[in-house]
Amino acid sequence: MPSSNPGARPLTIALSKGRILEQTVPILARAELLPAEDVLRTRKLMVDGPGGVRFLIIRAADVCTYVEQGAADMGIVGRDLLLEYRPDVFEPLDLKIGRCRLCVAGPREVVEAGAPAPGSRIRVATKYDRITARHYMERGVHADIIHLYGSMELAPLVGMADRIVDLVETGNTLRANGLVEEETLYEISSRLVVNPASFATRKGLVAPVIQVFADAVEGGQ
Amino acid sequence: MTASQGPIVGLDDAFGPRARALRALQGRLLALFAEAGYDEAIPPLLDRPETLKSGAGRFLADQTIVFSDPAGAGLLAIRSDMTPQIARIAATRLQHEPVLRLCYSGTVMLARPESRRGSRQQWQTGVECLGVAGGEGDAEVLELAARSMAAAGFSRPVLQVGHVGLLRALLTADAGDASPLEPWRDVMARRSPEDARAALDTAGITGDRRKALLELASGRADEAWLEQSLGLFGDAFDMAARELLDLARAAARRLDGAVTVRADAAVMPRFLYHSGIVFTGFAEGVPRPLLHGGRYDAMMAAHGRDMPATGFSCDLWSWLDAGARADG
Repeated sequence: MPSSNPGARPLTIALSKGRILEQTVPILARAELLPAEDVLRTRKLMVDGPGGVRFLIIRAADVCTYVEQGAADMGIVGRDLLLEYRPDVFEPLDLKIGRCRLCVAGPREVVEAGAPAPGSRIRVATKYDRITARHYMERGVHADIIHLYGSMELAPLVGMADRIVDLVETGNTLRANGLVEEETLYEISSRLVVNPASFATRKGLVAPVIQVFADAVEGGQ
Repeated sequence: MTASQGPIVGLDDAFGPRARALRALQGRLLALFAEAGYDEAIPPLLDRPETLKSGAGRFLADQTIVFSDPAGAGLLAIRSDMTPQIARIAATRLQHEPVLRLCYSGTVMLARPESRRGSRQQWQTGVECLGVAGGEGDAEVLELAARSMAAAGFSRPVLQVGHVGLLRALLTADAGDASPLEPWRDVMARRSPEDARAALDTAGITGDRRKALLELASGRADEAWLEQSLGLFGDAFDMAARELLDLARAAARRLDGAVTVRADAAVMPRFLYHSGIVFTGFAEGVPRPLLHGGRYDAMMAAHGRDMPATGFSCDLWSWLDAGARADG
């Protein structure tokens, strides 16, 4: 609100819970931005950090929303979610963590039969509805998207879908369920994102934090 | 309440304090525009599709609702932007005026919300300065945009100012052809050096131009960078850089700290009809841009009158949601 005291709001960084958070902590340590509590164990959703920084610890899928809405100035989020939701945020830094691939996979016989022909109709289970729809539309394939929240690998096994579009890190889960990769759509890693208005109005706070993250990423290579 | 009386997603009624606040804010801004010499134009809500979807309007063509007129005028469209209507007025009823300073304030409708949780209705309010070329017109409109944010009481307003000619010069794209800029607009709008690197690899851009485009995408192409880059990328780049530097410095002087004016070569227009200076307004604590503006000389000919043009506009509903007040 225009009437609020601009000095009162700490610089707020939204962190993605889960696998990405484990890999984020060493970067925060190198950046000398470690939160006051162990974010991997605490049940608190908001934790103070050094130098007037505040962290929000939230679901990865919500980070884009918090940053886009300005509830957080910055955030750490996977490129998969940026590609899916296309939030209005800046993406100034690839943190080179949470590396994996967004792939199409399916049962061996389906994959070995070749890519679906233009004009054909397939069923794809995914939580990346828009990326999947865009991918197949560009190839002239009609894809019925079956939205799932997890365990995509099950969908082809029970005959609910022909293929899945999902993140693949080691490929172990695919193999364990008799699926094989067909195509990599995107290389994925986590990115530092910034609300464009925060970048414009709080540049003095935001720019140095981007730089310490950049140095910390460099230092970890 | 029956289902047919329920709200339509993206459309909203306003009454009581919200309706009064909108009218008060509208009055405050229109008074500010009038003081600066701008006459109000009130075009109709409906217009011909070819007016609304050509020239500057073609970038919003898929956001413009078209329907068949029951009174027999053929196809009609609901405006999604008032700029094409102002251009039509300048090319027809007011064609004998060499210089036009027009302001407007009214509802525009979008076929779909612009953002993920946005509204389909906007109360578009702005100015168009027609017939004043170059820096003089840019400075006038930029200052009016700044004073509008200050008048609405926004805290620590910031205007980020760029120039489309800089990206165009770095890509060595022909003037008037927007298509080479299209993919880069998105990369720059996301300030993503990672994606810029991938785009540079695809386009085979190397050397100093590559470095420069990466600086833009990293959000580091500020006044100091522009100064250092003079003389490196040809006359078109230098001309755009000098225009931008002169404007940002002059505006900062005139506004005397009331609004921060910052040059950033990566500032991109919402739509690629802009041909020169472009700017976006922000304020502390408001998560979205408050206004957009810039020069769009190249588009006026498509509306029937080839003349210099620059302007800005904002959505008063968004401003109220961001805490604007008429006594600001």
